[in-house]
Amino acid sequence: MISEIFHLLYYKIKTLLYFQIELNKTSIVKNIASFFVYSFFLLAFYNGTQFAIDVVIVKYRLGLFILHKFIGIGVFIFGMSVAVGNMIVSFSTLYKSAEINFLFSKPISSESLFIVKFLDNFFYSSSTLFVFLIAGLSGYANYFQLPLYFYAWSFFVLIIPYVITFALVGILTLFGFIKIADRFGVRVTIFIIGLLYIIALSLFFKFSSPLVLIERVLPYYPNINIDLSFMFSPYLKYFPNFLLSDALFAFIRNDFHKIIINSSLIILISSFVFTLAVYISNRFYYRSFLKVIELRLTKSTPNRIPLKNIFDKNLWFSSSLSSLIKKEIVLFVREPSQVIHFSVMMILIVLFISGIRSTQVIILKAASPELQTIIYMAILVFILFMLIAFSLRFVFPMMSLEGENFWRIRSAPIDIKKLVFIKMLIALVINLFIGIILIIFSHSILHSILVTQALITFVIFSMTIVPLIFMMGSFFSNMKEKNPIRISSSQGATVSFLVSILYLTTVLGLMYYPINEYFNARFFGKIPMVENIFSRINIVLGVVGLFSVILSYLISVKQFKKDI
Amino acid sequence: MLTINNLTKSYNNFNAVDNISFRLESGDFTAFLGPNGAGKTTTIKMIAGLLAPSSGSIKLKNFDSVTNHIQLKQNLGYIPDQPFLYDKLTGLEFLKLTGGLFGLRREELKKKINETLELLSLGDWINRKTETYSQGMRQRVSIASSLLHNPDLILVDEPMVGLDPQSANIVKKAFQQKAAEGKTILISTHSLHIAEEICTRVIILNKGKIIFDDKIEAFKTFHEREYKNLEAFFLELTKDDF
Repeated sequence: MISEIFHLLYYKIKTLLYFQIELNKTSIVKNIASFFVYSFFLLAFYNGTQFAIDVVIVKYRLGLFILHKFIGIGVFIFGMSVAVGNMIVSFSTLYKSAEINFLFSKPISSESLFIVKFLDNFFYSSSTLFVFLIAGLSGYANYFQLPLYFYAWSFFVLIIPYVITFALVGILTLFGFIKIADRFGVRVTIFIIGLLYIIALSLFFKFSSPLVLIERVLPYYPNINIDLSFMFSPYLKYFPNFLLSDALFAFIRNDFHKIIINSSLIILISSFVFTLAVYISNRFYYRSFLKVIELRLTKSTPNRIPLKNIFDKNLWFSSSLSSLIKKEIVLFVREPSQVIHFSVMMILIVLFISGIRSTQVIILKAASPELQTIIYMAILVFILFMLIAFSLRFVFPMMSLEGENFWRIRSAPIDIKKLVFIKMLIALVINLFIGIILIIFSHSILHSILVTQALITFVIFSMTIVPLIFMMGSFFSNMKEKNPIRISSSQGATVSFLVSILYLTTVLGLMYYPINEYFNARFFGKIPMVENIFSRINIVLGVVGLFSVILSYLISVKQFKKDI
Repeated sequence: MLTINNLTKSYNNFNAVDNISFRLESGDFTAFLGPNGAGKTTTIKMIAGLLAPSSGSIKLKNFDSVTNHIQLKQNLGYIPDQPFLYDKLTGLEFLKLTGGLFGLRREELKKKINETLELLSLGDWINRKTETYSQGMRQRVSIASSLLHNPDLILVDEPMVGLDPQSANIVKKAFQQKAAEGKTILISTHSLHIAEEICTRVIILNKGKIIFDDKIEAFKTFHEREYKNLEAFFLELTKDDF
């Protein structure tokens, strides 16, 4: 088994190396651009970590214990995201890829295949993540002046096993998903898994609420830089996320005993989950592979195919454009990964909307204008971030998904400019529709000045980001990749994400001052005089947005006309 | 060698393969014929372990496709209709990768690679990345990779689709040579002439059922006696679908 794994890994690494050292003009430009964007963000992440620590320790004087509990909560959310992400990506790579069909036709054991594909997945989709973790760790280590060995220890002994644990949890959940889906159907299973996920998150936050944490710890001030774990549930500290954060805390206190114990426990948990996953893969992976094929084939019965008469109906556009747009809609609706992701995002939006009224009440009742500003900005960040996530997942792959049939578009009697315009428009209209609903619900009891401004900001933000991400998707297009999930987790998508975050940060930076002024005025019973500032910001963002639309459109048209 | 017993594959009450049984002996070069949707690829994929049978059994040298699928695959060379190659590997690297998956040792693998390179006339292209290959070249590399471990059963799904005449000729000769060496070959094809030219036995599948299974001589005699040509005979046998 070991030789099988190394043999496969050797050639997998070889394919990656070939990919990395490809030297042509476009590749060099893309890599240089990526390098600058990555460097900027790594630096920002490094400084951001130090700034965040400083805010907790110096500005709010919450102490080292609370800081590390916050880190524990943060890495838990991060771990759960890794698990969900890995579950989705693994479904494509472990079950649906052409490669897996090739490998399963060879005499390879299920567990070897599982290990190779897991590592392939893990490092393919997590390499960027690790680079950012290193930047964050460096910021942390530099802030506390930790010794050099901390970097190696925390990365290899704490973080990698921790991330592997959650990635494996994602795959184990996927195995469970297939097992349950075989018995109860896909929809019921999505409901069950979604419910379990929400329950797990709710329970975690019930037992490790940040507010309860602060309330319990602050009475001990100024003795809040020591280990106060005794005040909390004795079981909570054995969660991998708190083992990790407590180990980091132990580094600061030079508590080597604790470092060794926590590190050993993290490795032990990781090894246990890994062994369990390998054991289950030995018994279940091949069977589940066959089961997934069966589920896919069984599902495609003619009477269940949605939009089956769409090609008989006329749209407003010319027949060729109309056919392409219909194709876009039908392929989206009939691709399970697209529909499932879209549904998950819609559920998130519904959850957000259902809880947003109480958050607005919290804003209005908050004890200080700063707090009001922060909570309001958090809502704005969520909405704008949702738009970025949505665009990256669905707009970025739009050109790549044309795939090797792209020649049909190129050889059809259609105007490429019009086609690009319509594709961008579809993406923009859907994004605007979702965003406007979010803004309306999230501002239902807030003052009209904020509602108007939020709507304007959102429209300009969408008009800038959606065409930009569409353009990046066409610039980094990969016509050979059929899997939209892999396209949206590619190097180009990461660069697009980082550029979008940069823009988001700029917008928030510009908005912070007038919003803070607004809440200040309202808090002290004055009339807010912020319309002028808002107008100036709108003009600046509008001009940037206009440039983005024109530039993105022109570059996208050029990309659609390039030789492939 | 290969024993298929009451094999069925059903989807939503539809039998893609409907209770078929046949046996292939060493040296049999069998054409698997039938119109689109007859169940040829489904049967081949079940033998290759890429689909699970709904009922019935598949045994290759007594290795069952469900309980001993790894041993079965060790004795099998499966060539799919759409060849899968790693784009960023060269043809030679791909052959080394596949040979390794079948457990071939370095020296043995080197010898086998040289033999198959010659058999399929792969030449200098073998050192270039497979992403630069034509369809014919891709198919030939895929075939080569499936022959390296000297399998007892060679399973081929539509090997001639998209091949230029030169490639088709090379592929045909390669299979003929393997059959002459005593290997069992099951080849799914739409081309009746290829079946007639190179195969020793014909199995015709229609709507998941076997409707003809005999030696090639019987196939020829029958259609020559009753019909003016091979196409007319085949169309008559499968006429419900046209």
